[in-house]
Amino acid sequence: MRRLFLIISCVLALCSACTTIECSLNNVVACKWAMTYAEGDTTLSRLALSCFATKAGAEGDTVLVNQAMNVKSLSVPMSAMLDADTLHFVLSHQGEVMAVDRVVVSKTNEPVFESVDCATRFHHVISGIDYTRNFIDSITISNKSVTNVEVLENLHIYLRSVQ
Amino acid sequence: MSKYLKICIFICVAFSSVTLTAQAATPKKPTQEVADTIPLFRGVAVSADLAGAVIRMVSDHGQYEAAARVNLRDKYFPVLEAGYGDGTHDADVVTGIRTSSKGFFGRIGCDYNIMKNKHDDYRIYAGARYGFSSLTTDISNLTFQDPVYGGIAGFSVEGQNSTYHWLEAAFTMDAKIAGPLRAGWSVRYRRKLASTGVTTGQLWYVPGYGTDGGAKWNGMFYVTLEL
Repeated sequence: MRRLFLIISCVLALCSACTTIECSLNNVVACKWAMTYAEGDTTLSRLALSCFATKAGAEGDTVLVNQAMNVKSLSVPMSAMLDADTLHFVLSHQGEVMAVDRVVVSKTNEPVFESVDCATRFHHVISGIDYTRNFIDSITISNKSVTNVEVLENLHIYLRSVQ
Repeated sequence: MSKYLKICIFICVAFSSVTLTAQAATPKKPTQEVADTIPLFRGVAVSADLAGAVIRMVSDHGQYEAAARVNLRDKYFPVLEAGYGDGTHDADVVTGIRTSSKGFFGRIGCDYNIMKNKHDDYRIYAGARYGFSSLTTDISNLTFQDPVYGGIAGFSVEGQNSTYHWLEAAFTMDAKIAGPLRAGWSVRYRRKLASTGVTTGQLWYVPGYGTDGGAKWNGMFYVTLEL
């Protein structure tokens, strides 16, 4: 019994000294946009789509998508601290701008702390959306919660028919 | 060959049946059950956890903890544990996060002596606890430049008051050292039930529970004085 007691004591001493670091594997918080073209319209799908994020304090733009063709979905990072993100969607053909739409996504910012070993991040809840309608028909909110967990879509853009 | 085999099988079956008959025929001696004359209340013991205090001295978090245990027939041991824990993690080398937590905690539960001889000097207990902690947390984070949208991002939390609830399973063994002095190990498996007042996702350190997470294994070394 005394020997068993000593053996178990040694095993427990070793076990209690273990530690682990458990950070999320994915630390990127991005809004997933899905895009639906007007039925029967093939013109838009042949145009190049670009997306720019407006920087805070009139510092210019950041290119998020550069002249992508036949886009069906986009993964757009959200700002950490701004109350609303301003995006410009630009349609172009052979370098010539055909149409521009401005989208403003209002949101909340919630800091997320996991551990001192893990980088902090911000989760968001989309509270509203405002946009111009040059080639965008409508935008719906499919999932207002934007976290580091991959989802099918957060926002869905329906594009107008172009004659 | 098969003839000899049949004879052998016959002898074995016959012998076993005779033995069984003999056993069945033997009158069963009435067993006398020894009445347990141990009184229900066998005393109170107080103990202190030394592992938590040592961990507090050599690391950035830890706790000071004491417990009171009632002995019922050397079999059931209702237990109340209470303590104070604190921790401060200075600006992390990689993430730059600084955080501190401090607060009181308590646990209530019961142990069961699983030893065959309940009155032995050695005891092995299996038990369960409900734990509760009320703590205050500060978190300060290094600010960073938002690479896409510009501007400075970061956050800090000061004096966040929160509560934390958990359940734990306890496997404990201890031994009599001398007189009323006992010492032993306890292994705890803790699982979070709920928390309130936490606005930042998770806590770094919860007094009485350890570093925050889904489930935790912890070890304790305690010295007990039987009163």
